[in-house]
Amino acid sequence: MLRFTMKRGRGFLDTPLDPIPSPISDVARSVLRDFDQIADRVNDMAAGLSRRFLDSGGGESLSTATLEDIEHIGHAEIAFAQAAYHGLTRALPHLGASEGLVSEVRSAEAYKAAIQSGAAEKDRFALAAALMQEMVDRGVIRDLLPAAREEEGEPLTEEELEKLAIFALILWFLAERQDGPEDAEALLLTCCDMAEALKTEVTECLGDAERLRALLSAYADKI
Amino acid sequence: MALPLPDSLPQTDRPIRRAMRRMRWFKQSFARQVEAISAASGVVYEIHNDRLAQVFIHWLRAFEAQKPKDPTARRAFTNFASGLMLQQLIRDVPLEVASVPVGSDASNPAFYWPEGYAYVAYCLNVRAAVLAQDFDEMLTLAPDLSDIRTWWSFKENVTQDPALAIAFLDLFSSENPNWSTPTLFYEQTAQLEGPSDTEQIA
Repeated sequence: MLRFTMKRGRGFLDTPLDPIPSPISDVARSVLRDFDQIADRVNDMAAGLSRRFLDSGGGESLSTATLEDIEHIGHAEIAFAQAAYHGLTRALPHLGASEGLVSEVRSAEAYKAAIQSGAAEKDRFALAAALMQEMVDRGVIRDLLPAAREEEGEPLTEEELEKLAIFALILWFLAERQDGPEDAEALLLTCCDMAEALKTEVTECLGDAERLRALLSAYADKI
Repeated sequence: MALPLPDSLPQTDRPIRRAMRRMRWFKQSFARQVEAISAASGVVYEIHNDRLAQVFIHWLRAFEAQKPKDPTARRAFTNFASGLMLQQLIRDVPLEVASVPVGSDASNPAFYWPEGYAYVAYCLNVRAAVLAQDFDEMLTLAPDLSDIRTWWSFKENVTQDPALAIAFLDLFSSENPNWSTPTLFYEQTAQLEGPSDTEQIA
């Protein structure tokens, strides 16, 4: 019902803007853009495609599957999206986000796109780099609210939080596992600490698949 | 106060020299060391995990940059690498003292400089564990380690130049310190000429 109302509201507002004087027209366009974004998010959430997390959350069990494990199971993109959701909703509060949206459908799309890119034929680090780029490009994480942090120093911006959480998640998918879910969770938080310590490198390498692959390859077995 | 023994280091199924190059073991072993010192001294510490992660990354890069190809240099490099770790801990300051027991003896290094003491204990214990595991050697602690005057000099010098921590760790473990170029690893010990006592220390 909410989705329907949003769509109808958007239809009503979608009238020609040209007759309106320029500054007002700009404001109106901006309002429409915002309205479109809100409608998209409501659509995603209502369809169960994006989920809001709170830093007090994290009740669901954490997958212990690595990227290699996921590649070898049926409906890999769904398994990846679920594991990514559970991982990101733990990583983001640790890095300093109090709430935000994580989209499972966008994670699944990112996984499919990374596989279709053929990066996996090179090696698992190339696939991991492609995955990270796809997840960032597709906006898997949105609407983050930074929280007060226990650690001192400059708080991370929303953009940094998004990139570092995804980098930490990808490192975690690559890291060797030893024990059960508790170990997997501690490992993920260690990946977050490492991602933050590599903030400059992650930001610099994100646009270059080969450099990003080299960065992931250099640190995946140092977790 | 005697330094806590290496058995405070966590179990690992891989050699300690390799485990050390993994952040999960580094974090765990450092936390255990701090816990052991805290239990023995009553000093309460706070660990800053973000700074500890920086320590690890900086140390790992310095380690990889000077890792020798010659296998006969491994023992000397073990000492050097633990000195690099001490240098980085002093630079990035991952520990903060929350409280010290009332009436503690400030002439005891553990209370004079609790953070420095914890860093030194950790690096010596890791050095001792690797020497025992890989070279079947016991670390010989120097009498300077419990001399408060050496600690005055240690704190003053490394606060100005953390690189000197590498030489001080050698001094504490009865090795020949390189005071002039402590951050450079020399594969051949013969390359290391120079005074071996503490005369150059302020």
